Amino acid sequence: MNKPLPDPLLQTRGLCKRFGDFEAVRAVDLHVYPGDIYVLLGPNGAGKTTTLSMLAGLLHPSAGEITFTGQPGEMAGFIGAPPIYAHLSAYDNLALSYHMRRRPVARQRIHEILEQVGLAAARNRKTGAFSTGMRQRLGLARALLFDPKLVVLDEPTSGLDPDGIVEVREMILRLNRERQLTWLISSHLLAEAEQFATRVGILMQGQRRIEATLASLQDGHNVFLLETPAPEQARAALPAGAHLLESAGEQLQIQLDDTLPSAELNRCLVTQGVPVAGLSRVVNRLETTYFQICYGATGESHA
Amino acid sequence: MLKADIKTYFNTWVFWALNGLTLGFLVLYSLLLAGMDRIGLRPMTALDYLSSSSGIYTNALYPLLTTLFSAYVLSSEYRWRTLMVPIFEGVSRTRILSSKIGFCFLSTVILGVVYFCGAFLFGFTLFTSQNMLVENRTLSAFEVVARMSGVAIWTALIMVLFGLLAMLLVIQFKNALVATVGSFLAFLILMITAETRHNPFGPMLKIAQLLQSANLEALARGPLLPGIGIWLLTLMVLMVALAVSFHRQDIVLE
Repeated sequence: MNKPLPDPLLQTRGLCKRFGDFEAVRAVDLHVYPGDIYVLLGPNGAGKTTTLSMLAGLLHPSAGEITFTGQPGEMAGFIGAPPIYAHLSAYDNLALSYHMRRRPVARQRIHEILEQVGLAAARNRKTGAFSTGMRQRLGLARALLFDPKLVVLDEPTSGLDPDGIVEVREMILRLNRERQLTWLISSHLLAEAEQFATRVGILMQGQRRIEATLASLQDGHNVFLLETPAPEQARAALPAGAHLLESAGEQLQIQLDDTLPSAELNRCLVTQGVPVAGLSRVVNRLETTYFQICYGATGESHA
Repeated sequence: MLKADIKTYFNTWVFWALNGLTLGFLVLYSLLLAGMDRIGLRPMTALDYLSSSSGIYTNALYPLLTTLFSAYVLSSEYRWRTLMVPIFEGVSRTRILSSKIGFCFLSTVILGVVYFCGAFLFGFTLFTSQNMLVENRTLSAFEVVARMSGVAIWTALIMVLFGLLAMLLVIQFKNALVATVGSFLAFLILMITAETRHNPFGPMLKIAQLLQSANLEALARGPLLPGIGIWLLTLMVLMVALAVSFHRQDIVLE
């Protein structure tokens, strides 16, 4: 039996944003649960940044509501390029956040967080001279400074080199694993999302097309790939509840009814003398699902 | 939040450049007038010098500094995209705005105090004639200091209005230059037309002038109370307009 979902940490209901006549976000419902790495996907102009800006409080929704069950200040992050006081050092940039919250500056914590994001050596350098990657890391450091419950990031790996992308991804995964930190990240990089998302929402032309766990989007709906040197013999030996979808050379794609476990199919084939070289569940690539959802089955219109 | 603003803007070159230019101007201007006094080219008393230097400050330097600095402080937060930092930190827009206003007022008042202290120092040391005659009455040094301080304080209060106007223009146009020029021009137009009947701000603007040059009874009988009333009313209107427009605004950071 499936475990019941906890209450969402962040939820939107019917969220809308209009700029004059243009409706950038249309009745978007999102549910971000504690411990999620929620990736909001969509092409450029889909309304991802607008949605995140409303969650952050930068834009006022035209309609709908946002419910965050944490305390004010327990949502952190940045939209677009990280905001940085270029004339101040990395240390001073983080110290400012303490002043804003009327809290005494915790030097040790600042050093710790700068160490975590790999900026310890640059802590006293003016941030105006920082590279894009360093700025991105400083933005992350600021977001993580007060142990937030939810971190909202808008395309956090944009402008980073491959090493930087891997570092950011590793950090997101590590903090999610170690501290159950919840992330809400917008991206248009499907391969990136596939590497760390637990839940995915797809926006298209301001509307939410789907919201589901990554696993369910990748699920091939009980489709299995059978590899055998005797495809004709296998085809004839398929039991009831196994439907041949496609065959190519020594590979057969078979969809099983829920009543027929794959082990039963394997047993059935073997007992009828079919040599089974492999039987594995088909996992859809997120890309395939994304284009099916956004542009229909063929994905032609996105080209 | 105010502490954060102090830490942020006390470290900017713009802040120190504006302060340096103002004080540099005072030093050069004082030395020039003192030199002209010493060689007899343009003899002047300490009171003449104080009136002249405070006139330049209240009519040109201070308005320019206040509008420029107010516009700079708020527009920088848009330009640097740092307005999102306090918003993400859970700081209310009211606190963000009041901190910016408080910081601009504080920093320009500090500068005003330094300027006037410098002017008193130069006035009482560099000028040979300490004659303090105003309308056939000799003022004591204490009265001169008190009157000039009154001028400084009233100018600071008036300039709060133009600082707020500059911030309002920043919120509308997101451009420091437009805000500075717009607000400074508004000040100039109101100052030039202060004596006309059609300028409702006249009484408010005449107070500083009367504080330094006339007897105080004329001030009390004349524009003092209407001037304070106009100031309070204008302050409230601008504060409400600023708060409403900042609260309603969608903050789009490029």
